[in-house]
Amino acid sequence: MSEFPSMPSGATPPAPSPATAPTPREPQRFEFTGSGGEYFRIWIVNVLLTIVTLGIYSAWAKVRRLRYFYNNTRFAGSNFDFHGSPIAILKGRLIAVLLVALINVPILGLLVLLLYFLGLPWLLYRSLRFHLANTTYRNLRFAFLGDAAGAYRALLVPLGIVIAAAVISGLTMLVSPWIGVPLLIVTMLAFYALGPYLQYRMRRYYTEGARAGEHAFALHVGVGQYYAVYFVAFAYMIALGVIASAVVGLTLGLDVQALAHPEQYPMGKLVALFVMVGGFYIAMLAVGPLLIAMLQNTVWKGTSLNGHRFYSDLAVPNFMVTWLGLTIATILTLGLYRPFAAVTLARLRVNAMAWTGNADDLVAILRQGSQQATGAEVADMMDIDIAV
Amino acid sequence: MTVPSPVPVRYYPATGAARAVPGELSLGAPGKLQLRLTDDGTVRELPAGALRSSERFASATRHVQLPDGAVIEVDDALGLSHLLAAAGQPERAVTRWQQSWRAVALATVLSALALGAAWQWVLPWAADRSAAWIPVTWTQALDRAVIAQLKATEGLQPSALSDAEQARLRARFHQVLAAAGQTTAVEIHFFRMGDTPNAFALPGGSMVFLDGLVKRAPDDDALIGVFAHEFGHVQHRHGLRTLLRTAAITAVATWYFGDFTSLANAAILTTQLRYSRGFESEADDTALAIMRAVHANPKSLAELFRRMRDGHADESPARDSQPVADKANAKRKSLSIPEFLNTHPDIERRIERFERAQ
Repeated sequence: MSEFPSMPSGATPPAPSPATAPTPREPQRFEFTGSGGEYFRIWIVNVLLTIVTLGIYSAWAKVRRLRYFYNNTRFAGSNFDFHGSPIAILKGRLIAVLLVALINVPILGLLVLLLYFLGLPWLLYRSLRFHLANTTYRNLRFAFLGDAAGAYRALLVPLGIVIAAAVISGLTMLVSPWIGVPLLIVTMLAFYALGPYLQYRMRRYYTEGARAGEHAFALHVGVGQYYAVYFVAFAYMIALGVIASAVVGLTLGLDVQALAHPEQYPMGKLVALFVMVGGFYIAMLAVGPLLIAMLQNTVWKGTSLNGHRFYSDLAVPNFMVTWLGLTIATILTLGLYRPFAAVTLARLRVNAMAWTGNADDLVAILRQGSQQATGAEVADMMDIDIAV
Repeated sequence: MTVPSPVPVRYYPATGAARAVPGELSLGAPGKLQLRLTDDGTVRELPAGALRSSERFASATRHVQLPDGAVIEVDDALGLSHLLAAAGQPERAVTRWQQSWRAVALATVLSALALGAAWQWVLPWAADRSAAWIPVTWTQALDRAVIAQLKATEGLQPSALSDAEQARLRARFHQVLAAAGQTTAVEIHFFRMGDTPNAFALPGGSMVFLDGLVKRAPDDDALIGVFAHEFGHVQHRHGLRTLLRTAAITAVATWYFGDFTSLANAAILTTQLRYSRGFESEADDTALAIMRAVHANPKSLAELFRRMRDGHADESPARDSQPVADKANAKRKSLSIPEFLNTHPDIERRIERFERAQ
């Protein structure tokens, strides 16, 4: 640093990047530049080294994988970088292995399982910190300033209420099944209904704890929007069921009597039926990508940084169809297509995103207070990463 | 070797800059790289060993961290590699491997072989080792649950055999164990499931004989053979080991395939069936040893097999041909299992084996 006089800002010539275009409020796209063939080669070498080292290398493999995806994500002429230490990831993995081993010990296992559930929000909090604090853009770090208490408030309190309700309804059952059973059913339904709310709380915790420099991200999404997304997914499944039943009914309905006589089986229709039922199941699988795509759009359209909105216009039907195709290809190749699929999905998801600020805005935001984040977060002995 | 050409870079000081400072990186004194900023001409020599550069990817800008915390971005990924190599910092082996399609092909083959070996040997070994840790009380509880389940869903009913006959067979079986010097505890149950000729052992040492099988036995020696076979399963904890292998494979397959559970299940089923073939032969070994020890005639067991094979021919074609089955999940048995997936070694071979046994 001493060898370089500090640069008078504004006196520098324009960077060789499109960031210089003075159209700040035009959404600027994120871009993914990775390729399936290249990632396949990285992936397979990672797989081999992980096997040969009995899993130890998986921590290094994870860093190389994350770096591949971060380095290939560009915004305004620069890419992101990831600086996480493999040792932190290895620690997380060792703890996970230890936990699994302990959970399998009779009696003690139950205690460990309970401790694990109680510790889960804390692990999640450490993991978010680890990932954001190790993400850089133009040598400036992001940070996560949420605290462990926040993670507990977001996860454990709502879950605790449901568990308490389950215990109470269970105890009521001992008194009278007429009260206990309906109570238990209500509790079960409440548990499922709580899913989107939990997800919303987690997202709020994550977004509001995330920092670029001293600036917080803000989430302008209400819990209602999460339920709306799940309602669409639910409606999609119901509609599929109705359509499938109707089509099957129309095809086969007139031949029910024929089914009693094996020699008169309408084979063509039966084959068609199998195809339709298969198609129905495959279409049902697509509810996963439907949720992913809709949630990405909802969440990022409702996220801002220092007043600049993010944007996401992932085409939901296209994402669903692509996801299905990739899934089938992955199955047919016994998993070898997985890295190609990962790159295709990343490209779709990253390229759908934009931010209304430009690179200068981002750098200006990151510069303020980035230093303190660097010191405190990175050299943390407790750095840990657990894939939750 | 030619001197590698300089590469254009963008410089970002440790304090962060609103704009990139353009510059150029070239080869310096031995072991050093030279960074020159274009606008004010500042020149700095950097020891190549102290630079931390991100891995080379085809189309990703590379990041090089300088000792003072500054970072330079390099778009010419390969050019940077040449410079670093010339300054004594060649690329890591792993980066070179993944650039070579030959090395990648080799890695693919080796990974497949290693995973195949793990599937074939390591998983079963690990499952067998952990079987030793499972307390007997747990497996006995499991047995009770399985029998209750079979009663509820598969039409398992109380046996039509008289109490005296049941008691006689039980006593005979225990006598056989004592004579053969065996100490493993077993619990013998008699049930009826239509006319199905079957017997099976459960993980906790419970053994179920169905009336259909007892009825078809030519004499007690055949039943002793069946009992000894099932005892072999109990003694070697085949039920529990199968269960744990399945669980281990399920865990791995679920992790690997994520949501693709149907494929995972298919994979599990074939493995499970393949495993039990080895177990069946092992149980037949035990059966022969015990029959020899108590002077029971193996030909009787061969005759029972033959009757079941012939009886099965004029029954419904999908009925399984397993005379002596060992599955905790009898549910699957009641489904039609194609012949090639059958768990039991070829019945003709087994008939021959017991026929020729002395």
